[in-house]
Amino acid sequence: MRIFIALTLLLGAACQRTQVIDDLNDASFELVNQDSVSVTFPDDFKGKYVVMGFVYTNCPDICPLITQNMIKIKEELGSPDDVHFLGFTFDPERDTPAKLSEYKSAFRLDENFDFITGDTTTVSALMDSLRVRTQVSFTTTTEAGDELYFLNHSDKIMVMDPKSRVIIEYGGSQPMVPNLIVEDFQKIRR
Amino acid sequence: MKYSLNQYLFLALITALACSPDKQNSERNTVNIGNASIEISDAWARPANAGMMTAAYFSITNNESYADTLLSVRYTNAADTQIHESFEAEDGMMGMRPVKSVAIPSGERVKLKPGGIHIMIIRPEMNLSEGDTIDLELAFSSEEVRLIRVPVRSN
Repeated sequence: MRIFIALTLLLGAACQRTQVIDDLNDASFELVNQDSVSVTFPDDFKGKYVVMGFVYTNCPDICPLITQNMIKIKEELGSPDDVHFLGFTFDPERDTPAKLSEYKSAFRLDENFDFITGDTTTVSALMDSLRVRTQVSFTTTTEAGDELYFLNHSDKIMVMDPKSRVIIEYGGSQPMVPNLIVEDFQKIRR
Repeated sequence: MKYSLNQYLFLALITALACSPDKQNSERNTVNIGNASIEISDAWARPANAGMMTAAYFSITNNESYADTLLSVRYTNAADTQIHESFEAEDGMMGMRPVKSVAIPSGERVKLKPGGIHIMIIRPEMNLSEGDTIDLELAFSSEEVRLIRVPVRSN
């Protein structure tokens, strides 16, 4: 009986341990935020939790849902100081810091929430390391004659812990995701 | 040409809507101009800054005895307005594709919503902020053209 109880306790303790999805400790990406301030990811965020979403600003429907879900997570967590929010673009050619600044201002976000871009090679390497995939889906020509392209893309929100390890990952645009992430967060931070 | 009082009132409403600026007081409900055969409800558009991309959503109820089809949507203060649909691609990615029209069967309600069919507003000429309204022109196969006033809000 004692052995059974001991095994149950051990199993319980093992289940409480954080599951590491991706370890980014050996990675380093030189990027910029919406204010053109240099960001070294993930080094600049060591010691903090980081909620990460992946978007492009020419996306009118799914990406705003991802951003809106990140905002809900922030609100439900009570905007704690040790949690930073990063929206990474996977379309760096069009999503310049100025574009990301416009995007951030449309959502009325504060200092604790940054949007990140960089050169195409670095952003592509970052997306590969986080398993975020994109593919041009179609192009359209506006009445004004401008050609626009749109992207199929992975739909993810992730949480990185203070040791630069991705420990939570869900579909980013789904309505139940903020609650799931907040619940996971609260368990992890206990 | 002579108009009845009702026709005058209808024309006055259309003119007032068409000439009014986009920046209006916040209105939670969709303003419909036209007869009740096609009813537009729960309309909203997401905030965006000028030159960016955003989307509008609404429900369409067809109270007629015959099917109708939404053929196009127009917002005059943007580079273009198109009907699109978000979908989950086979490989787990999220995608978007153009939709030529939206069928509204007789007696049914079709909902344009986030993650589904939506109206893509390409590069609005001015900032669309929470509390503003925008006017959309909806063209149907029944030759009805509806003008609706849509509140801008986050969700």
